[in-house]
Amino acid sequence: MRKLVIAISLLAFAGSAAYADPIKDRQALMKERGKLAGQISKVVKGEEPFDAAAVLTALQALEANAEKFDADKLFPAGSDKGDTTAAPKIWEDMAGFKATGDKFLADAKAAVASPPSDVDALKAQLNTLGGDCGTCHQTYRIKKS
Amino acid sequence: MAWLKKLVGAFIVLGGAAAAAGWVLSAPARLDAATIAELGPGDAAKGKRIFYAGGCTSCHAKPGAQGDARLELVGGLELKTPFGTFVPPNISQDRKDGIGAWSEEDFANAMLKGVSPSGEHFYPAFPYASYARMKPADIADLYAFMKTLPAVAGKAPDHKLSFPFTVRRGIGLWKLVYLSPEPVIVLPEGAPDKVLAGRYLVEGPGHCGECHTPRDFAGGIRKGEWLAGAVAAEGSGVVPNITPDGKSIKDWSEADIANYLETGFTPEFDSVGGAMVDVQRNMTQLTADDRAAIAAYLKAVPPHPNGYPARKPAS
Repeated sequence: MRKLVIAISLLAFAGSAAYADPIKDRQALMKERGKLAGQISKVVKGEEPFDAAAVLTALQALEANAEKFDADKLFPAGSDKGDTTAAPKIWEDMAGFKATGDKFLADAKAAVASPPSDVDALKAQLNTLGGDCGTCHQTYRIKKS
Repeated sequence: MAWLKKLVGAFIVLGGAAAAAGWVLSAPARLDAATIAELGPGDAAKGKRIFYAGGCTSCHAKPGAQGDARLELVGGLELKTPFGTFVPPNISQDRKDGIGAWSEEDFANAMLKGVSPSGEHFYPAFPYASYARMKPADIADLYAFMKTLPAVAGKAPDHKLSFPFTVRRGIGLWKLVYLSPEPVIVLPEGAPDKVLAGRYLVEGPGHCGECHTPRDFAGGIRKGEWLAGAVAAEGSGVVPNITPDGKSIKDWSEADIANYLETGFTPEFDSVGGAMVDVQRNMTQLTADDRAAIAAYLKAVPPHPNGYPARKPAS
């Protein structure tokens, strides 16, 4: 019985810990970012019509997502261990890592500040933002399987 | 030929190239006159496409170079491998430090035979085992394009290798086993032109198999696991399985693959990462037809299970 109680409380503890799990938090943030990029991409590929208001909403959501990227909170020391593809390079070069995040935020802000008037303008913005994704993932992420 | 391969294999296992037979077999072989005659005068405009298909700048630009600086092929990147650290050299048009003094024939011997103008073997970290499948006319076009790129002075540092890999002559034996202009995948009679074009780009200039295929003890490509993915030969992590059985791209359509090469986005809107980032940037310089051909070929290659171990469960 004692063992069972301990097991249950351990499980509960693990559950609450998962809430404050920086690995899960950062993965959720990136998933959301990808989803937003996906919405914009559908317009760029012509699968959905260009609706200036909807596009602006998506870009604003992308900016809000970028604002939430707090490297100190999401990538604390020690969070290189576990189910993560974060590269050790993040902690070796935190300044460089943060700079790639800042670049994305700046480009998202610039897109919102001058909303695209047509698909071509949107495509250019998505290329810039997508390029930022790649620049960071080139150095700071490791593919594991 | 099988007995010869065994003999050569035995030599590599023993790590010895000292025997007289080995000495003869390991001699650098240059292109024959017929192939040289096929080179012809190159067209720089066409060579630009080959340059980006080959991804020359990914290894030969100064590490971290962006924009136009990526056309300054001064070398200096460090490729850390189990055999030691390879440093891609200066291949800019500088006559002293680069390849500005090379003739078209010198260039073709390097690309197709892995032999330097002075008659030395190059290490196969320079992926001539793939380039050997290229058409001589494309080599000539590439040579013409590279002639239009800037001359940049400065020698890259030497490779940092340990014995026996310091013995360049040993590469001659390696070449007997692994260097061939024949395609890796034999396609059925009447295979669509698109797939054939994709095979050429992937197996030849694109040298995709160099990272996406596991290697054997001698650093040769395991052709029986072609494109099955591999533990990264350089750096860390794994390079994904891109055969039709590869988890990463199993559910991707041809259009998805072509779109990934064009935009860097997967269908799930993850982004390109690692060494593939530079490759994808190069792929944007190809034509839409080229990217579609690569996609068609990847759907046509034999499926294989992953060429790397399963991910360890989270600790």
